[in-house]
Amino acid sequence: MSEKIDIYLNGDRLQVAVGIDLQQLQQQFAADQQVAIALNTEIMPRRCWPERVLQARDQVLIFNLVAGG
Amino acid sequence: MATKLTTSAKLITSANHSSPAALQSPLPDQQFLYYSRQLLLPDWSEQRQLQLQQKKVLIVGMGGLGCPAATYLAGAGVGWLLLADGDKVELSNLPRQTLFRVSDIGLNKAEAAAATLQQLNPFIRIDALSQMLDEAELVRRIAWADLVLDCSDNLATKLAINRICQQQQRCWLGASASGYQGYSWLINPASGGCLECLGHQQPLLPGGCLQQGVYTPLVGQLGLQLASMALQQLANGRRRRSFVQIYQHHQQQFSQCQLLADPQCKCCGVTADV
Ligand SMILES: [Zn+2]
Repeated sequence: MSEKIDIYLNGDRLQVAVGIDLQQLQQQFAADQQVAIALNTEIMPRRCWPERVLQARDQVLIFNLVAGG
Repeated sequence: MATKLTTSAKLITSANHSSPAALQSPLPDQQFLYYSRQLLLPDWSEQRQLQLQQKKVLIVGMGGLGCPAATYLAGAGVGWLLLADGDKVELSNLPRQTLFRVSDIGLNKAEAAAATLQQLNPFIRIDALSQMLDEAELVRRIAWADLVLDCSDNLATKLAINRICQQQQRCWLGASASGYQGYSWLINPASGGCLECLGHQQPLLPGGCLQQGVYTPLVGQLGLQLASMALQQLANGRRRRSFVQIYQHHQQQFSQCQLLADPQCKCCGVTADV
């Protein structure tokens, strides 16, 4: 069984595999959606997602990009 | 008998037009009275009120975001509001576009909003632009304004404002909402980060309020955030780092996150200097 860490995704505690990065997390939880991701209150540019490996207790916010008003 | 001015007595004195303090006021009596509750705030003053009267704000879009934002900026006393919208008022707008009434249906939104706001505050100037602003017009109007609020409902306008403000190095505010999703932002080109860094450069899935609906109180909250952020920005010109306030419906809260610059962004693409 692969090792897991606890993170917080949109306020909920969640177990994910050690070594998972932001891009993999997005594909796992928000595939086919146009989203932005904040990691520990910083919004990460999309091209940084594959480089950002999650650490235990990281707080991640995935939110949909919208254009209405 | 020793006299000690209580807080309530101070309030009465400062709002009383027959008092010597009021007679020496640089604000005309009616305006002093109009803004009296705001003037009582510890960090507000007649000087600040007069400075606000010198400010010009462009609001692009007079829908669910623009109506509350413009209402509170007018009430606060921003001296010159320029409202831009090419759409007409429809019945389905009334639940959240609070400046309009049934009698406004069919009227241009910018013009109808300007008329209502002028009744709300007769001491400021309010102009309406009743057409969609093309690129050249946006360039001109953004250069004119002290601050720009993007309250539009489409990606093309948002990206155009983003690009022009980047070119002109202008700090600007905006918001987006659809369904239960929404966020507001302050973008300061000097600190890096822009709407394209956030991810808005890609075509968004078909959506918007027309397809997804919109949670009525959310656009109101975002519009009020914009008004408050604008007043802070206009008052002290504080050069804040770019940030986004993201609405989380289940928690009924907003999370403020710093917007990091993408060094390879086609729009901003430079490192921060703030
Ligand atoms: Zn950018």
